[in-house]
Amino acid sequence: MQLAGGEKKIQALFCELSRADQSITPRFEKLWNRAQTTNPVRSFSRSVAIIAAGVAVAVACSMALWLRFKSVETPPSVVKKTESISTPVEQKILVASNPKKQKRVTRQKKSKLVVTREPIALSRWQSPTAILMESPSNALLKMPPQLDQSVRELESFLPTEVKETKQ
Amino acid sequence: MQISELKAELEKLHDSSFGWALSCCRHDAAEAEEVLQTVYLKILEGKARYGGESKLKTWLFAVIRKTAASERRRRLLRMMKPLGGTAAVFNSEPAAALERSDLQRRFQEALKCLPRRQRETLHLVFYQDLSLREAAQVMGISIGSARRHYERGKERLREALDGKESQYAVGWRRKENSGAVL
Repeated sequence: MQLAGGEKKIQALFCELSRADQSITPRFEKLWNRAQTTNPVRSFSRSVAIIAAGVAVAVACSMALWLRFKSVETPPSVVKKTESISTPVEQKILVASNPKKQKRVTRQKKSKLVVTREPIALSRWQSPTAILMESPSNALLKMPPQLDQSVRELESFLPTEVKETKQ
Repeated sequence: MQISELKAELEKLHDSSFGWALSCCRHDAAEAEEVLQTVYLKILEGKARYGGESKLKTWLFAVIRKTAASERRRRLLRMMKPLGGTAAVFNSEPAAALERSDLQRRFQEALKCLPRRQRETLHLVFYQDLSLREAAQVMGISIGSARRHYERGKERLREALDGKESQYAVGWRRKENSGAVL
């Protein structure tokens, strides 16, 4: 590169600077050997740190997703009942063919869906201890009585002779 | 390239590499040493590989520049931490220990005042004797940008030196004529 007068002055100053720098330059072998000795520990610790950070992020994400879905989910028995009765909101969600659009619609209407499901679920709610209140004679009590049933039952108690004479 | 061959080449370039590392670290010798050691470590680990697309010197200087930038960022983060008190170790100025002419001292001060890109371009051209194309490769910019930084840097350096020279002359004259004024 051709240098003008001003540039020559700058170059001379840079030359002087490089001479000064050379006096403080550390030996190549010193730096090279130090790099060789620090090699395994540093790379190991860095990779371990990266893996640990990745695992921590993955665990945190999965926990957050799990908690979110858990809070949205209703008990399975109630869900089965509500699924058969499809509300207009649900129908709209099911109709949406585009997966991206469907996702968006689902996100937007999720809260609405929960609100509509709740009254249905409440109206069909059954106590979990209702089974304990049931008895084997419930069916008999609910059945209408048959004609002549009581007479036939009485007959079964009568002695056989009486039965024969009757016949 | 075999590691033994590369080592021999790196040894040849060691002085100029350290000079470039010094320039990237604002003339902090301890920091430059750490940067150069990290560069050698990257080469040993295979994180920095010479593909042969450019000159070895150009490639090495680009690696040094990137490493110095990342070290600078790391240092800043360390300084932001309340208990990161290691910064004082690197504040030594070995350059000050050297006997330098006034002009050289003023030149270094002027160089420090320049924007980073301009300073780097001037260093690569004048100190490392690289062409503008090679300087652009090292800095990862276009040759047009490198030329612009070179021209502007040269202009600003000249202005700074002239300004400081005139200030120095005025100050000297005042000192000389202080008795006459009183």
